[in-house]
Formats: sequence, C-alpha cells, structure tokens
Amino acid sequence: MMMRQVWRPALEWLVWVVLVTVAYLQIPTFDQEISVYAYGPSGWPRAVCVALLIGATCQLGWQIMTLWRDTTSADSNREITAVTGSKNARTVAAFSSYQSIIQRGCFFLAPFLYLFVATRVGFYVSAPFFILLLLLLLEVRSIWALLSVTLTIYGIALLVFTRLFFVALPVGRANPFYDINNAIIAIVRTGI
Amino acid sequence: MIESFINGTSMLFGDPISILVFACGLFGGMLFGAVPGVNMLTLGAVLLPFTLTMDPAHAVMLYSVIYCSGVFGGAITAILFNIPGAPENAPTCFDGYPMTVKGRAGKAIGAAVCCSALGGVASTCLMMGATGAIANWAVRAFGPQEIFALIFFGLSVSASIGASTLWKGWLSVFAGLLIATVGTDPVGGIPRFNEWALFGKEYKSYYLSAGIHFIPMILGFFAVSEVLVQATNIAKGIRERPKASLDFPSAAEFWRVRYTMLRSVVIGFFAGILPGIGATLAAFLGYSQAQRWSRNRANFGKGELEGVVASETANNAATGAAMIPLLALGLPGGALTAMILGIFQIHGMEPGPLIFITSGDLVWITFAAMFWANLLIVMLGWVQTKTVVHILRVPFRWLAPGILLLAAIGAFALRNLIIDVWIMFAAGIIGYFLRASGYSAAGIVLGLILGKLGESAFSKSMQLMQYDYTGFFSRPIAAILLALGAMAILSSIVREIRMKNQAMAPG
Repeated sequence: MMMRQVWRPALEWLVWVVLVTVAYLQIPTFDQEISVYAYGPSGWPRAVCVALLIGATCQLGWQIMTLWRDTTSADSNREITAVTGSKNARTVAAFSSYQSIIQRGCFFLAPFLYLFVATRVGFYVSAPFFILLLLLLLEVRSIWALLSVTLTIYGIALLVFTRLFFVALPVGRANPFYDINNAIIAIVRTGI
Repeated sequence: MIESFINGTSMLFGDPISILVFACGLFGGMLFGAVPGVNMLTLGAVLLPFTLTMDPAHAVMLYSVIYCSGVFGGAITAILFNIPGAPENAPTCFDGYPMTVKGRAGKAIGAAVCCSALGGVASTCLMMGATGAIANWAVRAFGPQEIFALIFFGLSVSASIGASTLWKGWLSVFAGLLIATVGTDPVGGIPRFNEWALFGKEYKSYYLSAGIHFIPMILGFFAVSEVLVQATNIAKGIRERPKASLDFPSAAEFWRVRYTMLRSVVIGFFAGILPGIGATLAAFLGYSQAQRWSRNRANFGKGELEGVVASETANNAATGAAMIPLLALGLPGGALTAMILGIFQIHGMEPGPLIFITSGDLVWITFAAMFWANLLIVMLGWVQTKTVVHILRVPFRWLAPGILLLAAIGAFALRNLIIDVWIMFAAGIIGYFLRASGYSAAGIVLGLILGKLGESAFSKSMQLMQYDYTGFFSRPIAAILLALGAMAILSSIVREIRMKNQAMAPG
C-alpha cells in the first residue's frame, strides 16, 4: 500500500512531464515571427507548458511531503470512491475478476469500434448494432428488452435528428451501405 | 420605465402572433437546452433564415426568450444524468448530480427552476433600469487588460472546483489552457499543433487546424465519462439506482441560501455584461464564491443544494446582462447575441444608444418577453420537476446506449466532423481516469473555454502596453482583479495547508 502511495504521485508526475515534453517539442513547428506581436504564436503555449511543469512538480512535492509526514492518504480513498461510489476502498480494490475487467475493457473500446465502423458503413446502419452491443455489455440479456430498447432509441434518434432537425449524419463510404443509408434517410423524411 | 414595461407587456400578450412566438421560444429553448449535443445556438442557427420574413420585434423577442429558457433547460440533464446541456450548466453537475444519486433530484431541479427564474428576473429588471449607463461604463472601463485580469481572477477562484487537491485543480486548468492552444493563434492566425513530428515521422491534421471545440470535450468529460463510471459499477455489481423524488425545495431552504442567491445575481450580472465572458464564467464564479463563503463548504460537490442555487442563479443572471451591450452599444457578448445583432442587420436596423428612441416598441416588447419568460420558467419548471424526474425510473442499462448515441450525434452535428466524436470519446476515457485520480474535468473545460479568450486579451494587452507588464497596474480595475486573483491563490494555498494540518492533528 505504501509503495503504491509513493509510486502513484511519481507516475502522475511522469505522465504530465511526458505530455509537456511532447507538446514543447512540437512548438518549433509553428514558431514563426509575427510582426505586430513580439511573443509570436509560440509564447503562450510555452508559458502554459512551463506552468504545467511547475504545477506537476508542486503536486509531486506536496504529495511526497504529505507521505513523509506520515499522513494517511485520504486522497486515495477519495479517488477510488469517486469512481466506484463506494466508501469501502478495500472492498472495491479487492474486487477485480477477469470477467469484469474484460467487460469494462470492451465497454471502453466499443465507442471507438463504432466510430471506425460508422465512417465506413454509415450511421444509420451501424447505430442499432452499437446500441445492441452496449446493451449486451451492460448485462441486458432479455431478448424483449434488447429489441425494444434498441428500436426505441434508434427510432427516437431517427425521428428527432433526421426528420425534425435534418442533421446530416455519416452515410458511409462503401457503396451498398451508402445506398442503404440514403434509403433509410429518405424513408424517415418522407415516410415512403 | 414602468409605463414602458406595461406597454411592452400589453404588446406581447395583446397580439396572438406575439404570444405564439413567445411560447415557441420558451418551449424550444427549454427543449434544445435540455438535449445534450444540441443547444439554444442550434435552434438559433436553424431559425435564423426564417426571421427574414418575421416582424423584427417578434424575431428579436424570440431569440431573447430562447436565450433565457435555453440557459435553464441545460440544468435538467446536468442534474439528472451529469450531462450539462450547455457549458454554463457544467457547475450545476457538481452538486446537482450527487443530489440525484442521493434521491433528491426533485429538490435539485426545483432549486434550479426557482433560481434560474430569480436570476433571470433580477437581471432583466436591472437591464430595464440601467441599460445605457451600465453599458457605457462596462465598455469604457473594460479593455483587454481588464478582460485578461478578469479571466485570471476567474481561473484563480475556480481552479480547485471538483479537484481533490489545489494542485490537481490547477493542473486541470493548465491542461485545458494547453488544449485551447490547438488550432490557430489569435494574432497571426498561424496553425498550432496540427503538424506533429514524432520519432522521425511527420503527421499533419487538417481538422486540428480548426482547434478542439469545447462541446465535444464537455460531452466527453461529463456524459461519456459518467456512462463509463456507471458501466464500471454495473460490471462490478455495485451500482446503486438513484431514487426518483418529487420534493420541491421548501421556502425555508431557499431562505437559508438567500445570500448565495444575491451574490450569484451580482456575479452573474457583471460577468454577463462583459463581451465574451458571459454565463459560463458567471456560473463557475458563482459556484466558487458560494463554496468560499458557505457554512457547509465541506458538503460542496457531495450534493449541496447551495451549489445548484449558486450556479443556476448566476448563469441566468448573465442572460439579461448580455443584452445590455448589444442593445445599448451594438456589441454582442456571445454567439446568440451575435445572432440577434444579425437579425437587426437583416431588418436594416442598427442597435446602439438611439435604439430606445428609434425602436422603443421593439426594445420594450423584448424586455417584457424576457421578464415573463423568466417568470414562466417557474411554472413550467415545476411541471417539469413533477414529470421529468420519472426518467430516473428507467434502468440505467437502457438509458446508457441512448446517452452515448445522443452525445455522438451532438458532437458530430456541431461541425460535421467525425474527429469531434473521436475527441469526445477520448475525452470520456481521459475524464474517467482523471476523475479516478482526483483531477477536475470542470477545470479542464474552464481552461479550454477561457484559454483562447485569455490569450487573445493578453496579446492585445501586451501590444497596447508595449510589453510593459506594469501597465496592468496602471489601470485600477485590472490591478484590483489581478490582486484579488493573487490573493485567492494565496488564500487557497494557505487553506490547503491548514486542512492538511488539521487532518494530521491527533484525534
């Protein structure tokens, strides 16, 4: 536990330093002169990078000082509580089955998979499958619930955004899907 | 003034078309404000072409009413689902959503309804009484130096909101400021961070030249990360379902927070007058000041009614104030007021000091409509409180896909860019881990929103002062705001140390 308390602030500091370093190294790519402004386009980003570095170092120093003074880290408990909603950090930390981790990982990746697919096959074709996938990941197993919730959400989204607000959503790049998406739009808008 | 107001009211309610336009604005603003992804600006943009054939008084009135009700509408989703309908509702999430989790959603929405109405009515009354004088003062007294100083002050007092430590709050704000630099620089229009050189390879993104918009970030940090948190809890089998309650706050509860309401009205009003600052900073400032002065400071962020009261009063108080520079000087303070300026121009009119003489009817029907719209928010909001809370009875498992799909559509519809949706989902995952580590998503959003404005004000100040930093202190308002900001930083450091010492004290 103590090791975790020591390593966690150090890891956080490292993440910030890497972020700042990567950003700072990109600054020369746009470091041009502006005749009316001496600091140029890079002055402000440089200052923010320095501020971030100072902030991260102060945060590290603060946490190390707190640990050095042998204070129980209330933050760690608070942090886990913020995510889990549970007050008993130990119970929560102890809970980690592989199934739960895989389930969470899939839930985190599902939106990106959806985006990858939606740009190719279009929103109108991919959306019901995305809803269905999320419902399954959220442990909905009843066929009736899966179908009715998918159809309800999809139907409302189509009516509100396609028929009412005329929002142009991706129709896909692949030819059959492009046509299918446009057909769905036409049906929703005209009712034919 | 009273006579003009009565005339405006009789014009408003004496004409069936006026009533229809008024009702459309009221319901439309509430609806668009409450649906994440679309907002009052979307409605404003959709309706703009139709104003060409409308009576100018009706068109201006419509947009003013949309402005009032739209700012309120966003509070509903902020309270029920931790999804702010608009940036100005973000601080409402801090205490509104925890109240929902504790089964006090009715009280939170009730407080938002009443305080939005109060803030709006107070602001409208001040606007009616002192438009000319206040606008002249604000615009003359507030140059780039003062705007920069105000942003510095705003960030100083709001930095630690939602973070577990002061430093994490500041780091969150700095991260937001860094994200705001992506796009083009405000002076020379030179693209920044759209070309990347990593490990000897170069990457160029055309989309990043337009910058990272704060709407996908807000949707990601609040909506997506909340869904991820709840999905994690479901996977762990520890999610507790919030109870749907219909209790409206009592008069005694409002009386207890009377000073917070008054303070937030003043903060919201003055923030609203300043071009570009508007309701978002007003809401954050209102919330942070309420936390600072409250006896229940420790309960903020855990479901304190005062937190909802502060942010909702302040953001609605900014709506009336934002009309002041527009009507009196022709200076729009934000996107929606810019659309109203567009309506004036479409109809060949020029807002400015003479507008009260040349188009008195238009001005007073607008004032009356804003006043009544804010009052009607109470009635409609009460009905909403009794109905919308029932959404909580729907299992979260069923709502989550809808929320994600809605957020994705909202992020995409903003600029028709798929990168905005990628950014939103990435922000959601980053937001999840930041929340787990005690960082503040609100701080990042605040930094992102104010970053460009702050840089622009700073660069203009530097050019005006010929790079002499002491120039800030030769302008009294800027000097006071900078000093107050510095004091706020120092006092928060001292408070942090004291709290740590108290936590370490034996017993």
